[in-house]
Amino acid sequence: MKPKILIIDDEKPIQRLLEIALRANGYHTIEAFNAKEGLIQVLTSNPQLILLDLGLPDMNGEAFLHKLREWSNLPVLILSSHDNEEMKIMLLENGADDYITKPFSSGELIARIKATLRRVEAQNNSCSIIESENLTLDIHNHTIHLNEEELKCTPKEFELLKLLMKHKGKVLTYNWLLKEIWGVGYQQEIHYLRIFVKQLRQKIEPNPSRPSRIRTETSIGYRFIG
Amino acid sequence: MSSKKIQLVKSFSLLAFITTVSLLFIDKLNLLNIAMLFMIPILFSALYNEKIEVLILSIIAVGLFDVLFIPPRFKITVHDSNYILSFIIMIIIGQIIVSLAQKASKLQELEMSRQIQDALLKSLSHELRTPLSIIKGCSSVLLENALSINEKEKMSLLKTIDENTEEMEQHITNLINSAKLKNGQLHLKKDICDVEEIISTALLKTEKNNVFASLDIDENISPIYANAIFIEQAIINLLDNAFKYGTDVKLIAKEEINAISIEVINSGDIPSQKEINEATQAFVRLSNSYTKRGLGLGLHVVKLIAQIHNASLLLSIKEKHFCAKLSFSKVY
Repeated sequence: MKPKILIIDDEKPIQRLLEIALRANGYHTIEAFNAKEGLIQVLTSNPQLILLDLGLPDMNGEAFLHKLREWSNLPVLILSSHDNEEMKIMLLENGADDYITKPFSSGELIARIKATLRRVEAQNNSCSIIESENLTLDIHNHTIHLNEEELKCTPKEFELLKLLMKHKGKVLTYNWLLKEIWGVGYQQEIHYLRIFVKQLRQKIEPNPSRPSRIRTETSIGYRFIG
Repeated sequence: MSSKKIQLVKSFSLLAFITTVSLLFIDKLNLLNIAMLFMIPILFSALYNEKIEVLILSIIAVGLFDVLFIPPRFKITVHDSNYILSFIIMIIIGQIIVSLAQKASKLQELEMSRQIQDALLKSLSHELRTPLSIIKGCSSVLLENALSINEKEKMSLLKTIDENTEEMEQHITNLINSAKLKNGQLHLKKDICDVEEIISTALLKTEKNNVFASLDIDENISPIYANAIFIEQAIINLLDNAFKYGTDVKLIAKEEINAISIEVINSGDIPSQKEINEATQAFVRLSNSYTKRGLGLGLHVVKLIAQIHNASLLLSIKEKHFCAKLSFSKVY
């Protein structure tokens, strides 16, 4: 069955454009022009993913997420028109799954949607081995293999790569990563994280000064690409 | 010393000079001539100094004139009360000239900002309209001739649309940033940033079509205290320029004694040394840019970003290479 995607955006031309792009890539679309309509559509049409525009007339993105998260775990992809990093971080930490900044190409959008849907599915069948191209991570045995060769890693590096691979395609905020790996109270210690990311890049990136697997989202966090 | 202080010193020196000359030639000059001579420093000061400074200088000048030349000499009192009126007139003239001079300089400023706005409008209308007309042109061809053009032509038109939207986006980003940075409405959030990481994201956004910059980054370079988004934008602008106007792009990040420096170097079509002094002004485009489109805002934005970080931007030409160097003070 084709996955259903709910588009919540008050601008008609953008709605049309997204519809065409999504249908061409094999998705069903449902439209909503404001937040209220969107919430009703979530209940009645049972979509698999929500594309949420931030400039809605009746509710801001934060309020919408808050309402939605009271009863639903549906993945939400934010369409943000302004480059406001603090807003993005806030939404990511309040239940948004990812964001994409306008103007974007449809290729980028489809890639994000696919990654998000895949991630949700992967979380449902909790597999203990995560694979991505030439990289294999075994959660039970605490091992990482690159090109079938075992990669020596410290426990923290393992933990970091595990989180990144588990959430492949999703941007993980500095705060969230620090909390998951070091626990509460280390939220300011971004440089710890940077050191470990750097070490991991040295080990798994073909060209560490131009990282293609672990991307930096400036001021926000890191994203594992594949 | 600031230029204002220098002007004030000049005014007082002129007063001292006039007093000395008048004293030397006291036998040959009558009182009216001396009074006229004393107007010179007052008028000079009125042109270049602040109102209050002019007032002080005029009072001192009148005092000197009175004590040294008006009978009874070497006494503050005067025989003829008409002189008091002359003194007041001398002071009033100074004040009138100073307000006229201020008005004139305000008009000049207005004229300057009008010129900047003119330049803005001109380059905006040209540089934003060009990609826009290309986009409009392509999309209308696609719409109106959907059946008669082949797939290859279609692809090439679509690709042109895509490239030109990217160009517009870049212009708009620079425009918004320069407006934001200039108005100072930005409460800039600064953090400890990793130089290498910022460089790698900037490279990701600028290296296209398999053209790469060569890198020379000090291992374990110290972090800088900055707003990562803006520093990334600054490096993007420098790299964009280097790729657009030059060849053999090189990026060097170094740990110096008191600073962290990030330098972008390119060879190819190099502007003259004289020109680069103006390169960071808004809407200035150098002679090597005539065949290429641009707003002339790239380096200006880099300069503004450097300013809000107390960093320096140094443009220079070394052995036929154009170098743009950002230097940040170290975080301790």
